[in-house]
Order: sequence, then structure tokens, then C-alpha cells
Amino acid sequence: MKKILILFILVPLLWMVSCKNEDENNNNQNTTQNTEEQEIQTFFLVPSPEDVFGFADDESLTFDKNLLNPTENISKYHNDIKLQEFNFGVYAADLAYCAAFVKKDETSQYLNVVRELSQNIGLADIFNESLIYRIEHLTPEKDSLIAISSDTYFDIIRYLDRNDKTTTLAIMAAGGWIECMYLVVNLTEFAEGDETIQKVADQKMVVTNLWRFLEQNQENASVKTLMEDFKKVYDLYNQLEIILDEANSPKSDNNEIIVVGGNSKIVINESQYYELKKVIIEMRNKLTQNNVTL
Amino acid sequence: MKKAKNLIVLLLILPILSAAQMDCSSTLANLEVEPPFNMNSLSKSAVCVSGHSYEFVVPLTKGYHYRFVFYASSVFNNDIHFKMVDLNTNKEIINLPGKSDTNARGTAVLASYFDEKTYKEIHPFFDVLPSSATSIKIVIDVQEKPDLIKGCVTVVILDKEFEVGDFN
Repeated sequence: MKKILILFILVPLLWMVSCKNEDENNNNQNTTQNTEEQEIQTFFLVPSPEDVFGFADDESLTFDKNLLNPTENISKYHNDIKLQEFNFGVYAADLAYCAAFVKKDETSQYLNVVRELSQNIGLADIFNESLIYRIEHLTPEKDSLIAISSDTYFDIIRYLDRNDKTTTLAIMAAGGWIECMYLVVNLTEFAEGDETIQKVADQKMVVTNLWRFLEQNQENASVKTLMEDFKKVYDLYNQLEIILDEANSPKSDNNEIIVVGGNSKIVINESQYYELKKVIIEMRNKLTQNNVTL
Repeated sequence: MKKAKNLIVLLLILPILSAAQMDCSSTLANLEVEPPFNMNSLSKSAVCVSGHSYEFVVPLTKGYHYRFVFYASSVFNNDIHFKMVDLNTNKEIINLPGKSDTNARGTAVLASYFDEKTYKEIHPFFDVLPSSATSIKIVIDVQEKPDLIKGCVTVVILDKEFEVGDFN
């Protein structure tokens, strides 16, 4: 009994000491930072595939199963952690796309691929009994499919955040974004003034954040090589001009709503759009290892 | 013996409580969102330290009505300053403390106020409508304290599709 008592007292005490040391280390680091220059930590936020697909409701977009990354491709990524993380994002985007178009069978298939891949990259804990039950009992309602897709994504983000796996998060976010854009550009032909084309151009802000997020993690070799591929996309978005759009200056009568953005507009022309489409398709097919020419 | 048992229970519970406090990401999981708003994936919770500054760069899409809500661990006692800058125009849209002398509506970011219309206590929120794609930079300055304090600061971003009625 005495031994158990000592154990009970010692374990928490050791835990506290280890935390204290960590805090002391942090203090020392912080003091060093303070004496040199106050360092500001910046979080560059990147939306989930579901939020990027905010415009999937538009009638201009349709469901095309052939555009999805085939589930059997998962076997191609087994020996490469970067490909596993990147394609985790790709499959998460495919999952969001299937859910947005209420494709129950495909949603179920892609949930299972995401689940299988999660085991390889240390995210298996996310798929607890309750989530597995929900996957096995999916109902073909849009809200239910979107809810499980977004809940899974949120759980993944929280898990990665909690475990400081920011490099995995950065690679996954890039995979998710590339797949979303791959689907959109393959479903959309250029037309002047088209709403979806404008939304593609508006992704400039997201691309800038994604690039900065990757930069913050570039000490990781996988992130660095990914940035080499992503640079073409980033450079193309950097070339997009921002013009003043006098027609675009709404003023709110409601003083409880703050209007932001000014009267600017990001412009993409036809050749820029098709160049972007080419670069996105190339990057996506290279990293998903699809030898397809569309 | 009873004292020893109590001590054991206390020693076991303390680390669990501290760990729970630092599990920032769970803050978002436990929040309930009232329709018509949805939780936006850009919402973020981070461990912050007194005397330090943090920035969150948030890309916003035209066509959506966003609602920003901020929360902070009670250890900070609301001694946090918030700024929001529209990066398209470089205009400061919010420059407010976590709490104010009166905590009246529009004077604080973290302290709740009493709404005379609904007779309810309201946690402050800020509705933002992008007229074009832009990014918002949120700057959070956590006030320096005699001791180093760690806690969570959560930026909750809600969204709904923009409706013309939102302007009225």
C-alpha cells in the first residue's frame, strides 16, 4: 500500500517538475527573444476544402466522378510520408466534393480512404467508435453528408494542432487546396465576368496565406520540395492584377456591419486562367501519381 | 489516512485540470453555433503567453457575411488588446481592449454586456462583410504580467451566405 501511495504522489510530482522545466526553458527562450526583439507569432489561416467549395452550390459546377483521385491510388503512397500527407488533403477535398453533391456511396468510399490513410500518418485516434458508427450509418441527406465531412476535417485539424504537427497540417492544407482547384478548373471554362472564374481569381488571398504557412515550415524537407512545385501556382497568382472597381463599393446602412475589402477587384484574363489550369493539373497529377492528361 | 487519500485525489486531479486548460483546440469543439451561422474552418485557438503579441491572417471571400467572436482564458483577466486591419485598404476596423471601464456595447471585445432590447447578456461579436476578396489581420496583444501566464485565446469565425437583407 505504501509503495502504491508513493507512486501516486511521485508520478504527478514528476509531471509537474517536467512542466516546470518546460516553462523555465520557455522563459529562457522568451527572455532571449525579449532582449533582442519582441517576436510576433503569426498564424496564416487556410480554409478547409468544404469552405473552398463554398461555391459548389453554384449551378455552374457539376459532379464528375472521373475527376476524383481514385481510391485505389492509396497503395501508391505507402512508402512516402509526404505523399501520404498531401493525398490525405486531396482525399479530404474529394470527400467534401462528394458530400456537397450528395453522393452517398462516394462519400462513404472517400471517408474510408481518409480513415485508412489516417492510420498511416498517425491520425487513427480521430476515427473513434462514434465516428465509425456515423460512417457506417450514413444517410443520403446533404446536411448529414456535409456534417460528417466537415466534422472529420475539424477533428483532424484539432488533433494536428494539439500535437503541434504543423508541417503535416501545411502539407495537408496544400493537398486539399490543390484538389479543390483541380476540380473547379476542370469543370469551368473561361468566360468574361463569370462568377466562378472570379472566385478562382479571389483565391489569391488563400494562396498567399498557404504560401506563407508553407514558408513557416520550410525547414522540413517535404515542405521544401512541395514549395518548389507550388511556386508556379504562387507566381501565377502573384501576377494577377488588382484593379479599382468603382461599381463595387457597397455601403452598409446597418452600422452594426463593417464593410471591408474596399472597391478593388482581382482580375484574371483568359490566358492566365488556362496557364493556371495547366499548372494546377500538372502539380495535382504529379503528387497524386495519376498519369492522366486531361 | 483520509488526508493521504485526499492528497492523492488532489494530486491526480490538478495535472488533469491544467492539461484540459491548455487543450486549446477543444475550445472550438465545445462551442455551439446558432443558425443561420456556421462555424468557419478558419476559426483558430492558440496558446498565448502574457507580454506577447500574436497575429492571425484570415482570407475572406466575397458573398459571405462573417461574424468574429473572441474568447480568452480567465487567467488573462481580459487584459488583452485587439486590433483588426483590412489588408486591402490598410484600414483599422477594430482597436479595442478586452474589457473597458463600463464594458458597454462596442467598447470591449471580451467582456459581455447587457442588451437592453433583448434583456440578455451578450458576448461581443463583430459582423464583417467583404465587398471584395480581402484578408483581415487580427493583432492580439496579451498584456505583460509580473509572472509569465499561459492561456488560450480563441478566434471564432462564423459565416453565412450574404443576403441583401443583411444590409438593412
